[in-house]
Amino acid sequence: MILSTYIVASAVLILGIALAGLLSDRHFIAIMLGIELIFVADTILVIGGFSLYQSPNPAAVVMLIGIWAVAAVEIITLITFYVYMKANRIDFDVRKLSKLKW
Amino acid sequence: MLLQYAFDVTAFILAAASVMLFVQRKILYAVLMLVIAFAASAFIFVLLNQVLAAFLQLFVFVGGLSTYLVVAVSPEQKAANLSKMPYFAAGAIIITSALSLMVLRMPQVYLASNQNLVSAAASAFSGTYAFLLYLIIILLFSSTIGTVLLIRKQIRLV
Repeated sequence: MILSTYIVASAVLILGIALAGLLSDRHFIAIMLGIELIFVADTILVIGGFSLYQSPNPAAVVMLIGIWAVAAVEIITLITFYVYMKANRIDFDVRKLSKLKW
Repeated sequence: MLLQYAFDVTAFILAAASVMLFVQRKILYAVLMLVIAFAASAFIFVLLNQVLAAFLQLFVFVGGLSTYLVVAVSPEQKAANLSKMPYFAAGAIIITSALSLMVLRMPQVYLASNQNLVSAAASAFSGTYAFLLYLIIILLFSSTIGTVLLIRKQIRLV
């Protein structure tokens, strides 16, 4: 049997690492991967909630699918921007993203 | 007890992969660390007896999207050093400690082995939340169309 606090603690740990990475890193791809880590932490929390309750609210399933969908869209966006920036020789340093113009 | 040890080891692997994601200088290795984090989270779902969620996480994220991501960034050979490790370490400790204050106030409950994801999903698909699910599908579809429109011209230059 696993304690509920263990699940929340591990999710909080991942969230803390991801937020610290987002704040300290300047590489565009690393920042996007950090956002993906936040979605991992969210998913662990929601799935932990499913184990906590006998009959969870169906809205939690919609939230879980929503988290997965946004995480998938973020990966698609990451690949798109990577190809776009690479093709246009744009620096991945986020401080230079003002050059990202249509 | 064995379940608890398995959870501890998996949570440690997940946290270590998360840290290594920001420590790596090559972006391909960082992506591989994210893949390990996805796989470790899927194993946590197995330990929570949510096997369906674990399969979805493995098939969609580890098997599908991570493969796309690895293939996309694999040509990137240049190592980048744009992170500041002291700031990262200090930030991780401070933010995690601050967020842990919420955990300390939580009641400690043993998690049951409920296989209730399927029944809850059935209620969601047939109930009032079906409209939201359609919105999610539209979000995915529109992002894919936007991707095609954006890199249609660029793809020839790569």
